[in-house]
Amino acid sequence: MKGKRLLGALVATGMVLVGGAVAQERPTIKIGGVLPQQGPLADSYGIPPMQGIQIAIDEINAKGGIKGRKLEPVFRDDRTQIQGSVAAFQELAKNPEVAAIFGPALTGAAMAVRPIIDENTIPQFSLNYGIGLVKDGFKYYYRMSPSLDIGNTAILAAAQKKLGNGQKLAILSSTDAGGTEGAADAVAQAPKFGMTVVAQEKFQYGETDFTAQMTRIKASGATVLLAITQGIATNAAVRAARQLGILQKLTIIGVSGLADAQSVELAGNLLNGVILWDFVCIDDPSNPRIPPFLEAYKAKFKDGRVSPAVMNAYDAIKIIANGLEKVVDGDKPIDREKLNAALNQTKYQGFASVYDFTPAWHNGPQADQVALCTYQDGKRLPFKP
Amino acid sequence: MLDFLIATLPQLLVTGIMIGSIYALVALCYYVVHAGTGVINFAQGDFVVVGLAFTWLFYVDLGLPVVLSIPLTILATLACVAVFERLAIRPVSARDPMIPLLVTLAGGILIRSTVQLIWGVRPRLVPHYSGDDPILVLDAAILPQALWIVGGTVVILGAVYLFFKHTLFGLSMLGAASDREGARVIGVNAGMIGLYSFGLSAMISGAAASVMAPVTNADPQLGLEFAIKGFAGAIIGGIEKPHAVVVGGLMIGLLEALIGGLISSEYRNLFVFGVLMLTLIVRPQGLFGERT
Repeated sequence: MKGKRLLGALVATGMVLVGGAVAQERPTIKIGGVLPQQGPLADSYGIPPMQGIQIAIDEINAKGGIKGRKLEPVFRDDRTQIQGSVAAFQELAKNPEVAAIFGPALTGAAMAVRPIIDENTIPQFSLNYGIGLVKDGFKYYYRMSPSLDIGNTAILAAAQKKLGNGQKLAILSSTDAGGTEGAADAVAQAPKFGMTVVAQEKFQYGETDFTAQMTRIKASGATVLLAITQGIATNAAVRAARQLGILQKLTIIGVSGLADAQSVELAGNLLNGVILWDFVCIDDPSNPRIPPFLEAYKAKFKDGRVSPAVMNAYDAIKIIANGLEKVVDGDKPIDREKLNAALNQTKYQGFASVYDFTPAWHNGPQADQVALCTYQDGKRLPFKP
Repeated sequence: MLDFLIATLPQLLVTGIMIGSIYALVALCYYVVHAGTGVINFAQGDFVVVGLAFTWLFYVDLGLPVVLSIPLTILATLACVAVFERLAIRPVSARDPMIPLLVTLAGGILIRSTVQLIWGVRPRLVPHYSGDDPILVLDAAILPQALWIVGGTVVILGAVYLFFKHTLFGLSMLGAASDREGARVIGVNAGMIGLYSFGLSAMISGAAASVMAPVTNADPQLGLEFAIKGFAGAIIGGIEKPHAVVVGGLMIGLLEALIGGLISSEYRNLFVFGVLMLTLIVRPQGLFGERT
């Protein structure tokens, strides 16, 4: 009998202890990440942002989380395919534990998931360039990169400052929604910057030989090439330009992907002198926030190749975390509408740009905040005309 | 327009022949497997990806000279494909032809995923074997690597010709191709023919990957592109004849370059697959095939 009492007391004590431990485990706040880990955009806009999300979340959790609740990343690989993005968004958006989602990489996919976002009132952040994404109906969508029209304004102005008026502009862009929109916008904007469009060339993701496009660009007599490319496409473009003997004659300007980590790895110093708008000029010696971040990145991922997209996604998570600080209410699920209202009043200093989100502006940095960089001998430095 | 043609045509022809040579080799692989087994091998593009991975491993990572890295790539690709054939194709080879075809489709995805798991998704740079300073001929800039590709294609075609004409296995394969049931009745070992077909296709894939890697980079995601374009070449030329598939592959490369350079790159696939559709409707045996 005594033994039974003792056993009962032990069990009761155990239950209290276990119950106490369980009571201390607070529910995490999940942050979705729908990013390609396979496919043509994986290396430029899939894996780097995923790493940035992980760094930011680890940093926030190490400091105790958001009002004592840890953040938990939930990643899904959309394989750079729209259907993959849609399936992942359907899953994550319907999960009430997920407070916000970062991704996808394809502009077309970001357009395709808009109804899911709206229906589930979940804030979405992404790096997409596509102009149409913030034209209307962007209540829950926040862009972290400059859109292509804002990027075009910044980069065409830079080319004009460097080269003067009367330049002949060739445009090389992908056939997807973002590339098509960006090229059309550059055609519209070129006259404002004293340029005449002489060639418009397209490519499909995964193409590795751009000789045909560059042959046409060579024949057009272009002096400036706007390359809306990344990684494999950047490499193929500059190699074809070199093969045809026009690399030194063209001033190549473009988007962040023109000198992202993959482009640099493949094309190396063939990229010397290109001018691009970016999330941050990663080797900017005047920016004190960059070196410690790069050290932390290299220590965590054992990889010397850092893409600016890592830092851009990091900034996005910090913005979401700032919003969460205002709306976390004990252990209750996050009220997404309240979170969205908080995000709509964001003012955040990112690595290079100030993000000033209001109900009317979800379009990344303003034009005067866009970082303009140039690539030279392995470094992405601030561009000075 | 004439000035534009004069300025661009030589370059486009050079590019078309280079890319077409790659497609021709992939198309030849389709022929080899189809001839020996009756199967359309949809894992073909991924055999090339295996070759690209080994090219990078031997030539870049291990720093072996080209004369060693090429044969090692061929042998390593052969070994991988032989295992695939024994484990995945052989057990279903006697079933309805649709089953092995589906197995190659699934096998391709499996191979692609495995390569990506081991190797990652990012493309790796493979330096050109003879430098990348172009050679100017008639205002066309030819990469020295293009000579490796075209020259390699000629050597491979010669070797495959000798194999089919002067070896017992080659003759057996041709016999099996013309009458698979008959070959079986007279004692030709179908299992071995299958293995040798896939083996030969693997060796061609490894050799093709070796010469093309500096131009395409060692990109684990290129398999589908090669598979589709090589298949289109095989069908347009006529999959029953080796020379027909080679010409078909070259035609695809030339068509891509000419459409891309003279009209717009946006229309390349439209024309390539338009021609493929037209061929299937009007001349399903291929441009150089014989009506059966």
